[in-house]
Amino acid sequence: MLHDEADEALMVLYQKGEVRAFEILLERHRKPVFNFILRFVGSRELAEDLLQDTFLRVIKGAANYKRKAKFTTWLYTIARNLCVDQSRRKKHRRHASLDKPLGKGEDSGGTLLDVVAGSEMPSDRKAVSRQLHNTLHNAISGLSDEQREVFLMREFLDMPFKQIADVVGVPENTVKSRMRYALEKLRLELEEYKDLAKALP
Amino acid sequence: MATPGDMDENVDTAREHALVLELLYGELGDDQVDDAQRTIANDDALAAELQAFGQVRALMQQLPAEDPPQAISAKLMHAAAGQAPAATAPRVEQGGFVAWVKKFFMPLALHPATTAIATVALVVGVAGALYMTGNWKVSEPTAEHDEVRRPAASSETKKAEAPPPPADDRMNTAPATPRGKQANTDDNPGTGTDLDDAEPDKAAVREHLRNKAPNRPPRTVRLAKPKEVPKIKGRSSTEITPPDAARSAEEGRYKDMAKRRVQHTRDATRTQSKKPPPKKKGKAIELQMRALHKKARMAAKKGACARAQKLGQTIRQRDRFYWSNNVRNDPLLRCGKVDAFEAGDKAVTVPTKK
Repeated sequence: MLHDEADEALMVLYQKGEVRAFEILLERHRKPVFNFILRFVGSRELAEDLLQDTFLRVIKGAANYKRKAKFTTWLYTIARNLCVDQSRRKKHRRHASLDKPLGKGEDSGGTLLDVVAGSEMPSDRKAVSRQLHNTLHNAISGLSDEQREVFLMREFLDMPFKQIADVVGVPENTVKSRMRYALEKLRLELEEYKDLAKALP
Repeated sequence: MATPGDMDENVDTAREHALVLELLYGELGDDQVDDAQRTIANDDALAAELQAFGQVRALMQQLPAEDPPQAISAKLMHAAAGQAPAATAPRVEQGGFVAWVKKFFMPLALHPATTAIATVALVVGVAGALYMTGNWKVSEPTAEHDEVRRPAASSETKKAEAPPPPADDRMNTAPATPRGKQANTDDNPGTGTDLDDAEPDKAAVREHLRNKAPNRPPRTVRLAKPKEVPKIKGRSSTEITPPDAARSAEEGRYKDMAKRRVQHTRDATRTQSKKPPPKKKGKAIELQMRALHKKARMAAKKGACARAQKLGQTIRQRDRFYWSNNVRNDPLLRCGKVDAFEAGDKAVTVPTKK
């Protein structure tokens, strides 16, 4: 059935008017794309808007899609371009930092991210996890756009370096170089969780 | 300034770092993994880097993946459904040569002018084929068709098509040609025998019609008009209705007679108009015919009518010109009885004048 079809075949079917094919594509990719965008821009609302824009561009550009092109490459190129555009616009605006204390003083309370984050875990473990998540988000946000996009694609989307090079439009060695610098920077940022990392499987 | 040796060292270092990343993310093949592990194990810095990057990955796995709201999916599906017809790409025609031919000729075939030309060509082709095979017939309006078309006369037409009544009933009537044996026409040339058979009826028919219907209108092709049907017991001759049980046998008989007379007159008229005049033959044959004629007259005077008729038929067969001018109207050869040789092969009796 349609669920067994490859992304490219589903896209061709959607070109022929098969809406069900697009539904399957959306079901497959909406979550990874959303997480990629969310970790890139750091804002859920913004990530939702960009997710919507990404798939709307897929819908509008479906007629021009060629089966030779890999669907995920095309999809993440759209998502990455939207994120980069958003990041460039963001540089000209003032946004509240997620890790900035809500109070006036440094010790006046939690951050904005603490308010946004969920609260399913027990309090002590939840606190540790929340702190780790904050640190991870901050570490990722501290990467440059070039390093961040490469790191997110390789780490969370499990894209090979070659495909990342196609999406970003740079040589594969450049991608690897950016990846190495990103990991090195993250290692430094997460130095305090070194023991925790050793305990993790 | 960097020396070539330094550049080579940088290249090797970059290659080793790339090897660490490929090993970390499992992008090496099975045969390359062992070599990479051996290389990294020999270099403490690379081994430490690999371990540190692994710890970063382990920490990153702690970040939960979040689900986007379902409302976005619903909006996107709505948009996809709306854009689906516009996104429809032109389909690639499949089917090889047949599809190509169909694609090429379909616009031509769909054009009204092409359809009209094809229709005309079809009609002309069928007509030409019929003409070449000799089956070409153009129906002309005839008295038969008029009779058939008249619904009120349908029963009468059926009667006329039925076998002729017995000879007793046909006494004092005009000789009729059975419908099954049609007279010759332009459309139906028939056989020479038919022409010859129709010839002797002509005079008798004329004579008979003069006696029986002296006031009848001039004959035309449309002789089957109801006016020619004699009036019977105050009934209008135009009222031709199917016979009912109450109608008397005499009425039916008169109608049959009239119908047969009309049919015979029409056939005789057609035959007469198409019959070529007999040609005069040579002098020797004429002399022979005269001798035969003389013999026939002699036999008739002696009362041997059978022999006289046989001689007359012989004259007719050998020299039709002599027969029609001399023998045909010879009253002596009639013997006051059935003029068989004049009637030809038809088993029809012709009443003689008294």
